[in-house]
Parts: sequence; structure tokens; C-alpha cells
Amino acid sequence: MHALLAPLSFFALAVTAFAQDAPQQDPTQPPKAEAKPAAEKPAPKTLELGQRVNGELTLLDIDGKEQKAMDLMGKVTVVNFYSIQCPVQAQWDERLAQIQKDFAEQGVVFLHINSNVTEIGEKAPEQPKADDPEAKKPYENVRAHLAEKGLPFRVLVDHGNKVADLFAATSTPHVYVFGVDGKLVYKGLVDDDQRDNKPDTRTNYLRDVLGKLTKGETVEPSSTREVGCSIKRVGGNNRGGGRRPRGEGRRRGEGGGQGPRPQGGGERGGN
Amino acid sequence: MAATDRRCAAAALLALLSLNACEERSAPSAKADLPLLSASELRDRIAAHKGRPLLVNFWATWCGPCVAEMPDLIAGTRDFRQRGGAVLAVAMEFAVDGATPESARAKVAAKASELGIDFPVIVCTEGDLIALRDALHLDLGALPQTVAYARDGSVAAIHDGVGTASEFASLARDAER
Repeated sequence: MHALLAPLSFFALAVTAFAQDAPQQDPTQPPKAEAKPAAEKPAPKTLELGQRVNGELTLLDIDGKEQKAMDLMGKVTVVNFYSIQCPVQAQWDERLAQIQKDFAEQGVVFLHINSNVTEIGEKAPEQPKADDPEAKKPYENVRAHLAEKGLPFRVLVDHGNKVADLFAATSTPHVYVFGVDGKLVYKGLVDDDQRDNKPDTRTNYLRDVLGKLTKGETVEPSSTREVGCSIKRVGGNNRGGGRRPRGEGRRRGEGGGQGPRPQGGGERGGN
Repeated sequence: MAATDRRCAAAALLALLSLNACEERSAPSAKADLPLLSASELRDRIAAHKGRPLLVNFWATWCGPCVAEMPDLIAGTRDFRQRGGAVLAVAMEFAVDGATPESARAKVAAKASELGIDFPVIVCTEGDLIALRDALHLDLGALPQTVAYARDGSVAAIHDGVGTASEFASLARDAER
């Protein structure tokens, strides 16, 4: 099955990867006098649920090792937008690490992307030369944090937050799950228990979807609304955030609700 | 100007000054000024503003971008507040480990004073952002986030992430429509 798939990538730089062609005119027929140009549907700017991303992107990890999207073809992949400074991310670190460990044997790939300019800087630093063992390794803050916490996270660095923008990622943590066919099947929360207070009753969104994918089950694309710390973008760019107009919020003064439910279909919010 | 008109103008000016003074007195100046509210109490507090355009800013002292945008929130809503709008700054101190009522109040009071926040500040005791979102029936996500409520109590708009003074002024106009 995989051999029949066109080369796939989970990341893309070019928004034209999402563009749709305008309807073609039949050259044998005269144009209709009253025909109006077909309204051109604007190309989506960000990755949507159910989409397979074409194109190529290579990110480096903190050791300067390349992660090519092409190498993820055929694998269930989890992308988490990560921060070493966000205390809400820290509340989910252990659970993420456990899920990563639990699904390692099934070949699920976990990638933690740091897009925070306050943590990784605006531009990639030079990696030390291989023949200079005394040279200081870059991203020391990230290394120290992972070592101190004992987190087995492979952290990719997204300078200029291009991938965060492509994904419309807004917070840390913010997880995205891709099936073996390269399609985005889930995005949002790890689970609905930020404070780890209800281990027996929490809804384990991430674990549940990975359980289904690794069994070869069909997963209906869904999303939940993430919570956490804003991704610190270059220049304070609010892409992926910003103003959402009337109609996308709720009325004040109402009683309590029933907790987050997976949202099927397209993206919520955003501008 | 006729004497009657001068009296009316003076009364209007006095009313406006009084309103501003109320906002200034509401600004946190000590720990005692900072109420600790649960999610449901916060919901009720927000509901009590019905009839008045309102911006609710969700922030925290542990949130760098939240602190960084506060001067813009102050500046961007100044005219709005002078026109009778209200701003509440809700500090989500308990969303992180280790917060106590005393430490939360102390940190928020100190930071509010440092930043010169001149509108009411509330410390929310709900530590779970998902539970808060549920209680308020709001599409809350990452901090900071600012919600504009119209006079009828409906959510007019939400600003996700860091805002500029201009964006906050625009959001305030959303609340006033």
C-alpha cells in the first residue's frame, strides 16, 4: 500500500500546496454571455484536518540533525508544539513522555517542535564542528531542561515559527497527529486533565487516537481546543491567534457546561 | 452659553470624573483589593457587568507575553474606560503548581503595581484552564486572551494571544457595538 502512495511530506513551506485550480473553460464552446467568473476560493493558509500535506520541509533538531518530512512517510506521527518555559506544558510533560514510551514499539514517532523565539532565538546558531569537542553546543537551555526533567523528547527547532504558522499552532502544548497516509487526524489537547487530578476519569484524546491508528482502525478527524501558553512568535506575530469576531464566543451568565468535546471537521477560531 | 447649559455641562463633567474615580479606586493597591474568585464566582462577576461593554483579559504573572502586553492593554482601553467601558484583568495564578492564596495575591499585587494597572484585577482560583473554559462557556485557549462582551452579555469578539494598544482599542469598539 505504501509503495502506491505518492511521496508524501508532513510539512510544507509553500501555501500553493493547498491552492485549488479555477474551473477550466471548454474551448469548444463559446463563452456564455452572462457567465460570471467563478468565485475563486481562497487557498487555505494553514493545515486543515483531513489534509495531506504535499511538499517538503526539513527541520533541524537541537543537535543539528535533519528531520526530513519524507522520512516520516508511512508512520503515525505526533507533532507537539513545545516550550521549556511554559508551566502548562510542564504539567503534561510526564504524560506525554509516557505516551511516547508506550507507543514506541508500534513505531509512532514523536516530534516536539520549539517555535518560541524567546527560547531558541530568531536565527539558528552555528553548530560546533565535529572535530572540536570543546565547543559549546547550542540550545543549552533546551538541553539542560530536558536533562533536568529526564524527558526523552526529540526537539526540533522552528526558527521564525514557519511551521507553527503553517499548523496555526497557538499554544504549548498543542498536539497534531498524522496517520500513516499522511493525513492530519487529530489536533488539540493531550487529554482534558491539565492538572493531572482525575487519572481515572480523564478523556485521553491523544492516547485514544494513537490506540486506534496503531490498530489500523479508521479515525474520524477531530480536534479539541488547546490550552497553554501562547507560542512566542518572532515580532509578537499573532498569526494563529488574533481577533475572532462575533459569533464565535458564548454568552456570559450561563451555567456550567459538560467539558470539551472533540470537534469534528474543520478548524475552530483563528482569523 | 446659557446658565442652564453650563450647569448641565458641569453635571456631565462631574459624572464623568466620578466614573473615572470609581475605576481608579477599583485598581489594586494592596492585597486586600484583590478578590480571589472561583470559576463560578468569576462567571457571576462577569454577568454582573451586563448593560455595560466589558473587556476581560486573562493573564498571569508567570506568563511573559501576558505581562508584556499589559501596557498596551492599559493604553488601548483608556479611552474605552473613559467612555464608560469596563476592563477586568483575571490573573490565572493557580493554573501553575505551587500557588497559594497568599502568594498569588502578593505576586499579582506587586506586578499590577509595577505595571500600573488602573482597572480591577481578579485572581481566579481555578487552576484548570479547561474547567474554567467550561464554567465560563468561553472558547479559551492559550494565555493571554482578551474577551469583548457586548452590553447584552454576548461575546462580541475574542482576541487570542498578545495584543497591541490599537488591537485592544478595536476590541473595545467591538464591545460597544
